[in-house]
Amino acid sequence: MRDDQYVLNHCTTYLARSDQAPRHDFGFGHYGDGDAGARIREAWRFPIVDSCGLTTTGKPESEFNDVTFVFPDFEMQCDSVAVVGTFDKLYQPIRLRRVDFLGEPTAYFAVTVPVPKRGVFYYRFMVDGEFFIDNINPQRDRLENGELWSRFFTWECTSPVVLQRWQLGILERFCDHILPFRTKQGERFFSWYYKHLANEAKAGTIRGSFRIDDSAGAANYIDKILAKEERHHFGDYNICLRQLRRIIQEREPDFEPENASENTYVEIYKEMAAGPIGDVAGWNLSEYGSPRHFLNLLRRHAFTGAFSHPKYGGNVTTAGWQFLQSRFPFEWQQSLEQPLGTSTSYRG
Amino acid sequence: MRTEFDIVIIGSGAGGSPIAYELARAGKSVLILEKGPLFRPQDDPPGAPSDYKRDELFATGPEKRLTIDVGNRGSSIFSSHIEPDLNDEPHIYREPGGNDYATIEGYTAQAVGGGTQLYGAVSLRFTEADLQLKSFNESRTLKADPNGEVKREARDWPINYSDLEPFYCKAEKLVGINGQQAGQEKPFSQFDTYQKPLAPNPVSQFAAAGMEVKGMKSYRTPLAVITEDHASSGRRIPRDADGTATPEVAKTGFVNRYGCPLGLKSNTYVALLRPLMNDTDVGDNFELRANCVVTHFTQQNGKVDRVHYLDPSGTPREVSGKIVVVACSAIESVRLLLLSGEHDASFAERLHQGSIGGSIVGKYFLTHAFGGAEGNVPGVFDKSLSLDSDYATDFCALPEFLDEHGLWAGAAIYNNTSDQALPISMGRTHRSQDLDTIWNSFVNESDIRGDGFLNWLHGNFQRGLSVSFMANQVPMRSNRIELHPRVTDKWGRRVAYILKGWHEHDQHLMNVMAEQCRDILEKGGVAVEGHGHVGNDARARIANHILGGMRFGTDPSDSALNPNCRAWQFDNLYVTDGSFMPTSGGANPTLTIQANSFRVASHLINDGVV
Repeated sequence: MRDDQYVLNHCTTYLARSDQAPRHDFGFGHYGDGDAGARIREAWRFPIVDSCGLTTTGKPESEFNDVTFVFPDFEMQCDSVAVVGTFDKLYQPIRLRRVDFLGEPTAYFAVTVPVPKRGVFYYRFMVDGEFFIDNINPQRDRLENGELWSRFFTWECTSPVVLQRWQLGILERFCDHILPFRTKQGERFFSWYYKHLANEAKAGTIRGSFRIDDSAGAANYIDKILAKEERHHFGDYNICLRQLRRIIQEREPDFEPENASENTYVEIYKEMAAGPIGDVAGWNLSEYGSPRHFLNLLRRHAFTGAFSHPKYGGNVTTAGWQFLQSRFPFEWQQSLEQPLGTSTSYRG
Repeated sequence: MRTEFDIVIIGSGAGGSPIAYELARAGKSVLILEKGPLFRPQDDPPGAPSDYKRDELFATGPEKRLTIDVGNRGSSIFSSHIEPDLNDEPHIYREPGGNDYATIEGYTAQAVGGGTQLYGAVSLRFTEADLQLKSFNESRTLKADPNGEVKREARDWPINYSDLEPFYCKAEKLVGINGQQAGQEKPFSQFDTYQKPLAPNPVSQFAAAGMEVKGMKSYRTPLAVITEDHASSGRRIPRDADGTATPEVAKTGFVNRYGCPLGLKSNTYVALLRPLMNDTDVGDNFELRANCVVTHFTQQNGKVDRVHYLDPSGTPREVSGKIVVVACSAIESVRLLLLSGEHDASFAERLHQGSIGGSIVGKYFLTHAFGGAEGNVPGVFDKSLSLDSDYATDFCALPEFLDEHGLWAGAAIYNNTSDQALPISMGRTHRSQDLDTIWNSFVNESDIRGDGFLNWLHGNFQRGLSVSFMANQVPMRSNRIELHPRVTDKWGRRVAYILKGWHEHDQHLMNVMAEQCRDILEKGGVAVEGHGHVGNDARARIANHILGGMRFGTDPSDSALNPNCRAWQFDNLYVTDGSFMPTSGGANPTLTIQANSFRVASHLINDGVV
């Protein structure tokens, strides 16, 4: 259970404002006209997915996130707000409470629910008996029955959320090319590391999933950040990965793009990095004006994905940190929470 | 909801919290209004996880794009989770070409604790000369001051070191600082103000060696991190399974630009405010209202009669205090006073009257003349198990050194231990000049890939060592804070506009100090990669040590505040963040801001002001 102070701490700076201008529409077309999300700072923060305090399930807190659903009612018109979602029984709405400030009601309804990590979930609000999607959270999906639902995912999620398999395949190849894991030293490490993981998996001592063919989960991280924090770059990836697929296919028509030769990826990388905007043979500049710009974006994302906290979807099973530790004095475990790290004082 | 208090304080950082602590314990009713959230460490309340995480993406979050209509519109911006969003509340500065740019520089943090949540926690005292730079320079010969402006603009503080010293002692004890007195060129009246320093990170030995070779007396850098149980705040060092205290757990690399999830870093919330909230003797006499934005003041007959603020829902509310203390960081404090003048003409009239040559409010804005040198040490060391600094020296503040180089003021020099100690911080700060240019170099250097990436790691990771200096900037009236004529925040209020440059003498001083830093590294056996300072940054960097703009003094025509930090033309309005400083001091400012706030609190209590 998170207290009212927690809710206000995680809502006010993002939601409270008088100016209704779309200050947070970065001009990438990721908000439609009049979309309330464009007025909100970091709308992706909602619902709030955080470390889990206490569960009543008997399972360890490290297997859950506290997910706090927030429904703002600045007009103070709503009497009853509840949430239903795939994280719990769909027939059983969970009621949100009106959050107080100094004993007086605020504009916010909220409830905190422990939700298992590594999952993708869908939800709707029920406001005075009517269903609504979450107007703040920009993550939405139209489900098979045609209905629009709000979506969120919890930490360490490895299921693709917004990118398709072929897109992830090409991304993995480029991430491989950027990151140091496909070097001789890198491959030696990962050969050992994945054998070690396989043994642990057999012994049941490892959580989550891992794949040997990704660069420490960097591509999975990119999928997650494009679904959430940097949704405004989803268009960049869609356009550029489509172009790259076409260009790779033109150069190696006998292979699926993700299976094209190393040499093709090397050449395309060089061409993307050439000059101020890049110089990729076959690139349609009228559709995307700078392959170099996309490469720079990808370089930042690949780096961050490989070495950030695994909760963001990259650095799967801490492979990136362990690689660094194999080469450098870097006792990262001492600082980090269990079960990722070994700290006995910090709980994450 | 209570609306009347003895003291209303705006801002919960270094300038506001000491006053709250002292006045509430003296039986006065105290309210703090804080714009940011009350992010709490672990087990506050019991069982709850920390709002601060050891997570590199908390220090510099995902990319956003600037949408404000200024020169750098469309550029990428990155900020900490408790820094403001530039699209909601930017700082605007004018670059030398005359264009206006938005920047995250100059913000400390918006959270309970203010800048003390994110700071590296270096907690140095200023020197005796730092507080008397006008007197100190009267008969001296200075270089790079052809028009005599440095001597003309230098000011003595209206208090001297001995006035402040007891409050330095108090701040060091109550905040919770580890360090070493021996080797410092500042007098200490009490021997036991510091907790014991932790063992230094081995990488720092090269800086210490360089200082020694150069004949610079060094000492362990005072850091606001507790290393022993801290009785006054009730903080305890974590214990291992045997019940033995484990202070070394504070060494994580997640110090500078991170809130501390264990409450070991001595921010003002864990050191001062939380103890108040838990003090049954204080009881309801202390209230902390987080997530509340003060919009303006109104006044009657020279007394601030109402503090107007927006609650967490954005609903306008009012409170009143017999005393009102403004302490929301130098830039934002000046902005709040100027905005109050826009709401209330009589407030503006009082605020701006009395100065010669027009209002002094917002003028003489200061940062630090800052820079240093960096290089790679022979060998690799786990820098991620460190605090922010290990060794400091006051050598470059000695009168003989200043005479030799014709400098008006000195600098503290210290090594940075934890910079680039974690992988993402190394990538995003690779060759970056400031918070506005992070990631630029890594993403553009496309050769850092594959084997090139590995080589780059081997050349840099866990090998970097930097040494920094922190020096006084020459006060210039043209360096100032105004309200921007056009850009407004998410509440429709004009944002702060920063106009700032460097004096020729600043450039000279920074060149000298940067050379000293380079020399320290070279003499210590470090392969120097570069040295420089903010004066070389064409973009008039603002940095996070934001000071001046409401300077105190003895002459109402030359200062905005009296020696007790009360606004001259108001009976009950005090300003106690870094804006009170007439000169910026040769060291990081937080401890001095805290000490001065304890001094002002002592005045309010002992002189019967409230």
